[in-house]
Amino acid sequence: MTQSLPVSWSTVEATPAQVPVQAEKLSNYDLVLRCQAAHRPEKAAFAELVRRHQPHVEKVLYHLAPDWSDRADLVQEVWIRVYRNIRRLNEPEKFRGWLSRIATNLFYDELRKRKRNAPPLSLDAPLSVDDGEMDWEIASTTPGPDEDMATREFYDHLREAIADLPEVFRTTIVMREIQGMAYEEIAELTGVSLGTVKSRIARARFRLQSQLQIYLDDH
Amino acid sequence: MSGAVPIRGSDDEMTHNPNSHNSNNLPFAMNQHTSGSLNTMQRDRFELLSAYLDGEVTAAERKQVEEWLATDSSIQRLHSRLLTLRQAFQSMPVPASECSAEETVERVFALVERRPRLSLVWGGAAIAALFVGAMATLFSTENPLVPQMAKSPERIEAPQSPTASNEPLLIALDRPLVTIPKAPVAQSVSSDDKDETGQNPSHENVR
Repeated sequence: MTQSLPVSWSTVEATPAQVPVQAEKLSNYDLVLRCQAAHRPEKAAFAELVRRHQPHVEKVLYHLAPDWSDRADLVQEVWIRVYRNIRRLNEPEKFRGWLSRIATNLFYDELRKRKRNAPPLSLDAPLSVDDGEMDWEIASTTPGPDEDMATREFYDHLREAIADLPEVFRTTIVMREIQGMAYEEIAELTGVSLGTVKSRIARARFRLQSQLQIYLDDH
Repeated sequence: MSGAVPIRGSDDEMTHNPNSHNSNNLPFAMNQHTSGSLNTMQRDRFELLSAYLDGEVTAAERKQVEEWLATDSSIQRLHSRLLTLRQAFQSMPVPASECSAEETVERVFALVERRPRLSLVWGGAAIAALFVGAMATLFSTENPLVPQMAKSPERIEAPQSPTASNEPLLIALDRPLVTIPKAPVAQSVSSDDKDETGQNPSHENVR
């Protein structure tokens, strides 16, 4: 008890000094440090981290689980895990990679649960869900001013082609292209050899490039 | 192990598609002699090019790929195609989220703050349990007193006869105030009593 008191006093003294600096102006590194300063992450700093990295989390989960309808819940769960564990992040400069891993681990946790719970659905559901997802995507994707019809069409085909990849290939290529993981990290996360990772990435690329050749050569 | 099946499946697709579709555009045109061994060669080359793109090659492998890139137009085309694919992969827009960052923050804080409250409840329950435990230990410390009381009559009864044991009880009832402190206290009290009873009432009565 006597040891915990000075600690709490020091944080009380430290926070007023930091208040004038707004969270939006801090670097990711400083935001993480600020979240780690107290027992619970400071709300302003945490909110800024969410604001900056939410699109990345969504993108990762979108590509890992294109046919899951409850991705918003997963995104939320990722941030709950971040909230709880951010003090354990020893290298704040690696926040984004750490965040990616949290999202990936959550995806695998969920995948295991779903495979255990609902195997009979796998034959019918993916097709119909895929169609629904694609319709929804087209409706909700607002093209930028310089995004012409051809580009949109290309992206739609690319999205479809990625979603159509067998699961192990899709997750591996997503970890590489979207999450920027090294082969070794992917091997560790997916529990396969380095050679398998290398081969899966090459095969996924090969399939995508042959399916999308027309668009890829145009660009 | 389940991954092994799709790997073979896509392997077939990988080798058949380019051969059948576009023999003119085939990246590895120089390897088109016999299918079996050349396919594995194509695969190895593609894999090497792919790994090169990711910077996951040895110095010797890098040198090899760069040599191909300098001399082989089909490899050059494939390389630029893969670069475009990567660029598109990374820049491709993803469907807008159902939940804004602000909403996510509010939900996360609402959830994690509710959970600590629950833990406080559990903490309170634990403190209550501590009190119960403390009371239980207090009672348990009194309990040893009870057996001692139960034992003492046995000690008393053992040396003495059942008839004699009744008499000390009667004596004890008569003499509780009398024992050790009685002699000095009785003297002082009696002397005080004499003074006070002799003087005070008289003063009070006078005044």
